Order: sequence, then structure tokens, then C-alpha cells
Amino acid sequence: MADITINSHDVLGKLSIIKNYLAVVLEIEGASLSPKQRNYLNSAMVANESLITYIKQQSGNATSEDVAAAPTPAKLR
Amino acid sequence: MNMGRILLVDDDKVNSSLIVNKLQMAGNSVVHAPEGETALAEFSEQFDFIILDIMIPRIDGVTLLSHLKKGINKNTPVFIYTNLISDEKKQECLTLGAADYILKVDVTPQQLTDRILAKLPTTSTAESRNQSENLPYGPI
Repeated sequence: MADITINSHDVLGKLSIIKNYLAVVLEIEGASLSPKQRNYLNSAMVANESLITYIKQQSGNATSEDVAAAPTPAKLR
Repeated sequence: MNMGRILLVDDDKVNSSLIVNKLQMAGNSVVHAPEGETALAEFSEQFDFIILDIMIPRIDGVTLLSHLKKGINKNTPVFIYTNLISDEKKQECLTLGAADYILKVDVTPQQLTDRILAKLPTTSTAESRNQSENLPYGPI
């Protein structure tokens, strides 16, 4: 597998946009969403947080709380 | 109702629209500067709170922070709001007087708004202006 060098700042910029829009939709529309829809969005949020923690780990800046809180891919299946 | 006057300096227009919306819904007036020179021009006005990104065009956030600490907003609380992960940069900003160094990926717009509202001064510039405009007058 090829190694990829990433600019963590740029990647985190996109991930924070995804995080923020998911959070806003869940806040504003949360009550009117079906349980299934809420679950889909929560799953997307969890996966996004997991990627954020991964990027922080790769840049050497994830805290132990980040690592403990981040879900593993197995939990998302 | 908070009625604070807040300056957001951030070139990310997508993210900024969410932050501006949240702060306005909380009752604040918000000025958004998408790059450093626009932000510098805004520093001649008094703000109750300033949110400052670091990696922005024209003039970077750290340079802006040092300008801020010399002008009329020198006592205005400043949050650095960035995705730049750097202990060195964080320390530099805190030494220059930033109240906090917050990674954008660590907070939602609501969480950022809550943190700002907790630090807004009890009498905002907007409230002071309203009070001075509504002073009672009458016979001496």
C-alpha cells in the first residue's frame, strides 16, 4: 500500500466542515428525523470523529481521551 | 439576550456561515472578515469578543493578534480558532494574550458559541450604546 503524505491542517479543515454540518442538522432537525435517519447521521458523525482522531494521531497530537473516545471501524459495521 | 459585538476572522466561508448564524441566534451582532487586511481595518472598532483563525490570506492570525493587543481591543477576549496543530503556535498565541487556542475539529458551532457566551463581558458594547442613546433628559 502506498504511503500518503497529508497536510493535516487542510484535511482537518474539511473534516470540521463535515462535523459541523452533521451537528447542526442533528440539532435543528433531530426531533423530526426518524430513528433510522438519526442513526445514519450519528453513524456518519462517529466515523468522522474517528477520522479526526486518526489524523491527529498521525500528526502526533491525539490525546489519550481522543483515542479512548474514538470508535473502532468494527463498531461501525 | 447577550447583544455582544463579535468579530470572526476566518477565510473558511462554509464553516464561518454556521458560526455566524449560531452567534446571531444567540443575540449577538457579528462581523465576519475573511482575510487579514479586512480584519485589520475592523480593529479600529470596539468588539466584545474576537475569534481569530491563524492560516488566513494577506495577514496571518498571529500577526493580527499582536496588532490587536496594542489597539482599542487590547482587553477584548480573543479565541484562536484553527485546525493548525502546533504546541509552539499555541504557546505563542497564549503568550501574546489569546484567551484560548481551540481546534475547529474539537468543537461544534454550538459548543464554540457556548464557550464564547460564557466569556462575554456582562455589559457589551452594544448594550452600552443603547444605554447612552436612551438617557432620560428633561429640565435641568
